[in-house]
Amino acid sequence: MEKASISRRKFLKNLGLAGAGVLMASSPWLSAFAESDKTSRYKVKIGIIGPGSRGQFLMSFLTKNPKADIVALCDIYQPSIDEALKLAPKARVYRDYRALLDDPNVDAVVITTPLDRHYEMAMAALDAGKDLFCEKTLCYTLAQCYEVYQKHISTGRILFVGQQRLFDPRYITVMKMIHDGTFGSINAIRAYWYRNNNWRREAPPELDELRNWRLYKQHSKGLMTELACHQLQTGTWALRQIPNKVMGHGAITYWKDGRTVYDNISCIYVFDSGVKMTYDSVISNKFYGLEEKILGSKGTVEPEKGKYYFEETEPAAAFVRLINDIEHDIFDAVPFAGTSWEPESANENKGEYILGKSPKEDGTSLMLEAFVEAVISQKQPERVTEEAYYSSALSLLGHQALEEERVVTFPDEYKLNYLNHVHNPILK
Amino acid sequence: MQQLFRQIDKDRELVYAWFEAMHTRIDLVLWDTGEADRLSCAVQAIEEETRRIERMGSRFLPYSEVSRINDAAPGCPVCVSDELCALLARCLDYRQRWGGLFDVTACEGVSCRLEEQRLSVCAPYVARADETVRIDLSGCLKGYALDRAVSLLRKQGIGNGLLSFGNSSVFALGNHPKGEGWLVAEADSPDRRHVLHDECLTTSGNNTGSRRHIVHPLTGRMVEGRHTASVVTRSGEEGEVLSIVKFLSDSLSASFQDKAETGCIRLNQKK
Ligand SMILES: NC(=O)c1ccc[n+]([C@@H]2O[C@H](COP(=O)([O-])OP(=O)(O)OC[C@H]3O[C@@H](n4cnc5c(N)ncnc54)[C@H](O)[C@@H]3O)[C@@H](O)[C@H]2O)c1
Repeated sequence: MEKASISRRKFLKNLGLAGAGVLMASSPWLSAFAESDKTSRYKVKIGIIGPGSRGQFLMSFLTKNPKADIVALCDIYQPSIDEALKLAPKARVYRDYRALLDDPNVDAVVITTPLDRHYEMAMAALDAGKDLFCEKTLCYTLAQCYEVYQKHISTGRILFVGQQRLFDPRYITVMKMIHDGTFGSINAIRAYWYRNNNWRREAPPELDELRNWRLYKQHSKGLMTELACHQLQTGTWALRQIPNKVMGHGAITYWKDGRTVYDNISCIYVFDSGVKMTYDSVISNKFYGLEEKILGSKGTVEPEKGKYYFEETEPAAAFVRLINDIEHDIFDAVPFAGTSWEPESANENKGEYILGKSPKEDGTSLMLEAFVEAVISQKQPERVTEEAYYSSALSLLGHQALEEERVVTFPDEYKLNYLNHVHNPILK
Repeated sequence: MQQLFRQIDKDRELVYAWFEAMHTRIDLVLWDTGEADRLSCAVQAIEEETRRIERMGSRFLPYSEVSRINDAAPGCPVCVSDELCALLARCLDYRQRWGGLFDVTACEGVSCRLEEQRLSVCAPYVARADETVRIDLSGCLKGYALDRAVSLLRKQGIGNGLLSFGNSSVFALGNHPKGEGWLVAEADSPDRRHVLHDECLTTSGNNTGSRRHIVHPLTGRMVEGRHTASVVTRSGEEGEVLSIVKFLSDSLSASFQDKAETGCIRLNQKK
């Protein structure tokens, strides 16, 4: 057992995550790696449903994982199959996902189809006894998300949703700092994603809906389900609370090209304490990019940029280097000694990097490794699905608020026994 | 105060804490086995102690004990704490021992001859000799506070840490988690490194040609020129006194102006 935990520590340390044990309190799903050194002789046989752009990206990691084998592919668009076969040439090809689910050779399924397809495929996969990795947003409606979650509980199958920030070393590290109180009390989160493109793929009219499903209401909820979903999660993770109210407005103000999803949205999520998380997205200006600014009484975190800032005196660069050296087992001199420091000589507040300048990865590969480990050990990591369920739920409720132009309250019937929803009276 | 915690390994925790006090910044790195809470309490106790000493000895705070002495009429004894009396009495000793080069009553424009009694200390009373006397403990208060911080840690059983009071007074307690003692380099010349173990590195002087803030007590003139002097001692207070004395002695040498620093002398006697 001791050996296992040492090896897990080493594994996470390679990703820039020191002291994995301590991080577990903030990110309990890292327990997925608890037995990673004992599972090397296993191979999970995986089927991919909808290996389009995201599916192929996920495959590129899975093909490098010696514990995973992609044995089946299913798509209704030949170019996607052709591309996916380049990554997994030996995989069996299916046209109908149900046939793939009937394949007894498949242990686990990855769903990367358009949003409106998720529910039916996810339910069928869990019913077929497959462990499931479903891309975000979990489903097209909150009711469907709830059903899939309950199906995961009743079947006991593993369920992961593609919320890779949960496995991003920068987020994991900084959430621990937030939970330790490093930045004081968090009273506001300002999240946004700005892009400047039409989000449209070239396609003949008969393939437009299949290729550009993101632009049409019947398949997607646009910016809320495609982008916000990832970022709203930062709020619940940081505050360990679910906001119970949301209001907002959505419109098409620039890309009036026949799309039916908004290209300009703003939402305000309200936590019970009155703390607010705002979410904005426009796709006609990209200057500010994306961020989730976490505003605490003692400091600010910009996890996308990978930086944090203190309100008052900044930490001394030499001391930050010293503690980083210590974490990396380095015994070296740090240059700071000299004549007395005076406040007048303080520099502009440039902030500190959470994990160095260039992050090693965004969490996707670690998330997939965690999924494979969970399938092998048949242990659902704590909280990973609940966090993802609520990211989906919040993005869908936000969308509802935009559509109905009213304050939407979190419906009791879709609350899980989780965080501040734990006293939900309608739960047994 | 702000704090950052790190897990060094399974059993050891580290805290880095920093805050501004005494018109400078204080940086503390401590590590120990066991609970992070203990380290957090220790750095908070150091902050409280430092602020208490500042309230006692800063001439910039209008209600400090030192300000009360400075504001009282010359010759009029002011009743102060035993602690401040003891500190001032030591300062008078340093003045005698170092031929008047260390003088907490030094003041620009006033030459303070060694024979002259500028301050009378007779616990619990302190009195200024005349209107030109202004107590300024900037030359030793950080070192004193640093010594107090180290003794607080020792009392709490925390044996390892690096404590910097304004970068100019740096105490290395025990060991770095990955080596023996602590390695500290100088900001202006990183190649100049010091291995410190239960010792204090203190630097005085002008880090730039334009900075001037130390008065030569015997001449009453501000010392000019880019020059620093460092000493390694057992205590922070002693370190501050000796680094100033060394800086002022250096200032008499012909090569003072063009030599940026004269190197560090170790004054501590290792057992
Ligand atoms: N986690 C992330 O950061 C991230 C990033 C991008 C996309 N995604 C998610 O991944 C999913 C897919 O997005 P994408 O960009 O890859 O879309 P895509 O259009 O590139 O790929 C979807 C694929 O599904 C196939 N498909 C559609 N209907 C099907 C059916 N009935 N049976 C089998 N295959 C079918 C399509 O032909 C296509 O190959 C979405 O849910 C999206 O939100 C997640």
